[in-house]
Amino acid sequence: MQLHGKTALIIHGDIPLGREIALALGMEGASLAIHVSNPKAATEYSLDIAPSDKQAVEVYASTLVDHTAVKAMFDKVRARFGGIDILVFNAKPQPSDTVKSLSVDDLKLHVDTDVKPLFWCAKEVSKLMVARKSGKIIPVYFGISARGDADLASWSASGGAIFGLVKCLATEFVRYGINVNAVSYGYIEDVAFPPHVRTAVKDYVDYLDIRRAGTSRDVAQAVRFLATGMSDYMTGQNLYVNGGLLL
Amino acid sequence: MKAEGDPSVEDEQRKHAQLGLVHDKTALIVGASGVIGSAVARLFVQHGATVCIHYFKHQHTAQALADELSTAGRPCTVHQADITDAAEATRLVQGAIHDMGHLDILVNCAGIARDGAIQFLTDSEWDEVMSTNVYGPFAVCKPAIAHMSKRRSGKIINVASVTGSTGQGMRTNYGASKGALMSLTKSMAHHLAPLGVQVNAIAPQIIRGGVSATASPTYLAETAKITPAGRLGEAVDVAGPVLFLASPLADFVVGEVLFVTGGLVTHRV
Repeated sequence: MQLHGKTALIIHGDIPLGREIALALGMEGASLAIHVSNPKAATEYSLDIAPSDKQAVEVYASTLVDHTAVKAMFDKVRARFGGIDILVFNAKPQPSDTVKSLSVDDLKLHVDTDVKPLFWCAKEVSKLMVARKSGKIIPVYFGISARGDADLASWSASGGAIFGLVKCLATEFVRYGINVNAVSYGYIEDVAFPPHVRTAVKDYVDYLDIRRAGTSRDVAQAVRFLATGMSDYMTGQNLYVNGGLLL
Repeated sequence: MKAEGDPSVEDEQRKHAQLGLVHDKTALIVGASGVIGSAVARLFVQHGATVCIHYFKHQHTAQALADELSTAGRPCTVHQADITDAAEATRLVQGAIHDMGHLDILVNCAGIARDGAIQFLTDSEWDEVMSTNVYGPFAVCKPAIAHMSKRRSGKIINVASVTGSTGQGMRTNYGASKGALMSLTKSMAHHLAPLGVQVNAIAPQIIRGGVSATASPTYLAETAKITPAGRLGEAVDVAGPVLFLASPLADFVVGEVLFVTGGLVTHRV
């Protein structure tokens, strides 16, 4: 139980990968603040875990499309938990396509959905973590940017931006005892990829040396490692959980 | 904390959280008399593993570690071997398997440095470093792979160095050896993943008490100063990531090199 007494905020905690991450951190004893995208999702949210009397689980519905809304959510979490020890920014899969087919608006949508909210979340959580001189920031994203893919141009671009932002955040915050490391996943069977990517997942199982697609649970376990003291001397890294996709 | 739904998820995650990440696993730690190897052995035992300790020259240190880590139901055995000799490397692995019944995890921590300007570096200094840092791990991996692939299960973790990626003046032989070990890791990972054996590596920066302990105090102080974390690494900083790679938490991580550097050279890796 390495996360007893810690509070983790999980962005997009209502999608399957977010749920697995919440479960993994909860099993280590963390209290959980779960972000969901709308009030209906908050009402329907159930994590299928029964927290111990030392743990709390709260759900926060918020849009991530403007800084004011993000700040308001962090204020609520701070009021309830007193602070945040672990921020998991779970980037949500979005439609993507070839460069030829994509418009600038499509590209902007991806950046606005994935990168800007990470930027705002990092700004807000850093205020809490800097004061405590400790913290873990863990962006989780589809790591296709490391190799590129013809059908996933906007996704690759936003992933590249997250990759760069992680290294900037890491070097800026390390002096305050804050570790910033990303989990960059490959083809995961239970991530809600667009239909053409789902087809690719099947193809890649044959390509991967490990001979299986990944699961959300595989990704969540890597997040668990980065959230604990086991990774205290790692920062600015991308931990690839992809079954050897980049080999 | 109780999980509902799939009981296997609950059972496994609870086991990891409460009993340890390598509970009931067996591990051979090559180079366990060094600071990194001994920290790995201690953490593995804390997390429920049975370990076999290898040393080359430092018998007293290895035996003291084994005495410290042995428990009534879980003895920690010790083996001496010169891993640069393939026959001795094979004997080491066979001995570990004999002691523990089988081998789940192999950690290659043995390493040396013989620093100097390249124009003055001798062939024997080159050969010595390559023998211990590359040929040795390769020689140990071969019998371990035969055993693990037969069982279709196993984890191999090679301790490389950030120098293998970035290079370093006065350390051409060491940098080349660690770069070779990283490439060897990826190639072995390719070959062995279909056989159920996962191979990954760790690339630390300077670790206090490690192979760079003999560097000048000024150099060590300067390195600590330019490291974003503001300090050199400790052996325990490396042991945590090794434990992660050895555990089921990393079951979908294949052929990766984890850089454990306190933020140093994030731009190059």
